[in-house]
Amino acid sequence: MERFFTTGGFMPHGHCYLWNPWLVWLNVIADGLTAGAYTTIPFALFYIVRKRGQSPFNWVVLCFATFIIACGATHLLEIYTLWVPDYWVLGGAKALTAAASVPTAVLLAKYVPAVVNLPTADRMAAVMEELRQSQAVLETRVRERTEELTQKNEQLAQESLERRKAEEALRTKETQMRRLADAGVIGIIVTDFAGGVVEANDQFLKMIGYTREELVKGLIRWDELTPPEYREGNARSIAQLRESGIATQKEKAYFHKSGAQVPVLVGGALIEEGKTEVISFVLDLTEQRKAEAQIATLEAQKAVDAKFKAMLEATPDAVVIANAEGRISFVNQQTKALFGYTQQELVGQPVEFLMPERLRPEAFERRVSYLANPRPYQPQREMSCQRKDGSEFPVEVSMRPLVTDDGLLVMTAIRDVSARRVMESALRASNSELEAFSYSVAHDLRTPLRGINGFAKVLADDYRDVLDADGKHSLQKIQDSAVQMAALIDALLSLARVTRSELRFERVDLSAVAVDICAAMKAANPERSVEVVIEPGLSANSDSALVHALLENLLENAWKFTQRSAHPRIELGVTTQEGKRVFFVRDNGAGFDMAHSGKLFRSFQRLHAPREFGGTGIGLATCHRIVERHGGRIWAEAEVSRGATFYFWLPENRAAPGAPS
Amino acid sequence: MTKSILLVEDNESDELLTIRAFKKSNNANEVVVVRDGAEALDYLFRRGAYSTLEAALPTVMLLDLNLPKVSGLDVLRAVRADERTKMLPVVVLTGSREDEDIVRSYSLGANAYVRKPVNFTEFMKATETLGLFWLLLNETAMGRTGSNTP
Repeated sequence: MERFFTTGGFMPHGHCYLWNPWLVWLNVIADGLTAGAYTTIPFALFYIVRKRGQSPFNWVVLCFATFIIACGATHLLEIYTLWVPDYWVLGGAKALTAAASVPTAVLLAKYVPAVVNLPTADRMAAVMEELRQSQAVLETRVRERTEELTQKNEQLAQESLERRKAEEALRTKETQMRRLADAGVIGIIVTDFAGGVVEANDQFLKMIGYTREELVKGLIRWDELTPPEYREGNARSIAQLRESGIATQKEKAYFHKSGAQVPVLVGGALIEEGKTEVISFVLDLTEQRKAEAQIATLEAQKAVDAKFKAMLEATPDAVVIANAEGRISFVNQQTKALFGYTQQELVGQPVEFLMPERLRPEAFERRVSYLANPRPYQPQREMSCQRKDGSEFPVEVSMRPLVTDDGLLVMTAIRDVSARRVMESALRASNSELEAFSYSVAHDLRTPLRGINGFAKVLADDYRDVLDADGKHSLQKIQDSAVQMAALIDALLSLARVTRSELRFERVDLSAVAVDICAAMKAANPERSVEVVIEPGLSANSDSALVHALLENLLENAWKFTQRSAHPRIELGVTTQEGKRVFFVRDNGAGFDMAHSGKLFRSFQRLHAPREFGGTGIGLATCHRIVERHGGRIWAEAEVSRGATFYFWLPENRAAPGAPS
Repeated sequence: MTKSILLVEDNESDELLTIRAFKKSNNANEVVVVRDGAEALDYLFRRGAYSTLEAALPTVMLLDLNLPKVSGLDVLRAVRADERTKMLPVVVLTGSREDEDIVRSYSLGANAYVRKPVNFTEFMKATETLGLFWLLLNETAMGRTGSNTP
């Protein structure tokens, strides 16, 4: 070792350069710089290895670093040996360098293919650039994606919230629907197009009177439940469902199990598009219909009530409506005016309240028996009512039961007949006076006439010898006048009788009556020859006495006015005028001028001088009165010297006798 | 037995004319005249002024209806109610032709109803006929016995 670190006698290397300073310093600087560079490189390599971590080249690099350090040390020893000829050390350093360089070279050779494949710096740079760009793109993408993801995330969160809300809403809806279905307010059914009912709630089953078992067994079919008149509507609904998925609500009816029809409101919708299952609500309209009917009834009632009230107020009678207990529930204005009470004073009172106290017990009994057998009733007897001031007045009443929703009502119309009673009594008085007068006329007025006629006759007989022709003529005139006056009195009495007497309608054989009258006329005037033509079988609904007087007057007129005819002819017949059966008495006698026909039927009007044809002038007035009292009509057609025809028509349906006028 | 006629007549003219008519028709029977209904009943029932009368009841009574005191119809009712006179023929002879008078007269038991005609000639004919019928033709039940129970 000692020898190794000894110069051994060698000359410094500078000698070789002859100590040329230039050459010596050139070597010193070159070797110094090279050694400096060689020393720094391994540090860089170490740094790289450290930084790069695991790499297949690490050993190469380390060997390489050792080799470079060794090279560096060689160059430093070169400088050293310029002045100190320690060539052993230099040689040892070179041997170390060689020792480091050989494995490095071997390793390098081993890694040459790999190293050859190692990218070059440019390539590296390009790759790096590419990488950088890629990374930038990647980063942008990552950013975008991240953003996207964030948004998606937010969206998802949002959606999830919404979904939760929707689900919640759906749950609420379902709950509501369920509650609705269970509440029993509306019927809900699921049906198919073919007529089947797949599902129904209890309310629907209740509505149509079926059980759930029957539903399960498939016994409930909407097509069978639907009355025929609604089948067309069903077909329309199905068409609508097919087209738009819904069936707008419509009113129809279902058959209840009992057979009765249940009015309903139905509306539905397809459960799923394209399918044929329909969910429908069914609302029972029975109560509504009832209410509607009630309203209609009430409204009609109101209208009727209004009309009824107006009618009650319009009637001249006092109208009192009492309930089934006999208590007054309504009075019209006339009642208040007639009785002097206010409505408040009357309503609620028993109806007997309107009668004098002494009559109330009897009236009460009558009311009770009336209410036991209510009917339209018009008591014939006269009744009395009492005003608020206590005064009584005669009334006529008419009662009529009314069956209303409020129960039995009895409407009583009360007519104050005091004025009529006064008039009636005046009329009775006047009638009886007239009767007395008539009787007096009949009996007493004729008596002096008999005296006049009788004593004129006595005079004419007893003093026949002392009277000249004039005297006898005068006495004859006195007698004739008395007879004429008696005839007038009889005619007047007959007219009065016709006016007064009560008619008794019966079927009278006019032909037979005429035959009798004509026979009597022939008997009274046997000298006359008159052709009498009476159509057999004529009859009329009439009063026999009056119609006898009518025919008697007409036939006697005809008899009388034909006394100058060459071939007198009297005819009784029937003809049709304006669709009515009209009887006629026709003669071919003197006739009359139609210009005077207006006077024809008036009392004491004569169209002929008494000298020509006798008569009282009352006969046709009597005929007119008789026909008038029968409700018929009499008229005449005539021509001077060519006869007259008297027509009369008597109504066939007059049954009730006309009251004496 | 003397037949007589009881004429109940308040009117003097009618009385005179009726008596004349009977005389003219050669009716020899006595005509007794009473002038109101009360007197007629007194005569028939022998009352008042006639209580001592011994003459027989008339063969026929000619009765006017419109009479003072007691009316003709009341006289008729009383006559029919009394056993002595219930079968006396009564002819109502009056001026009235009222249906009511005729019906009431017959229903009270009158045997005939004759209306006095105004024409005296006709009246005399009527009187003659009456006399002929009631005094000569008609057989009266008065004074005869027999079962008169229906």
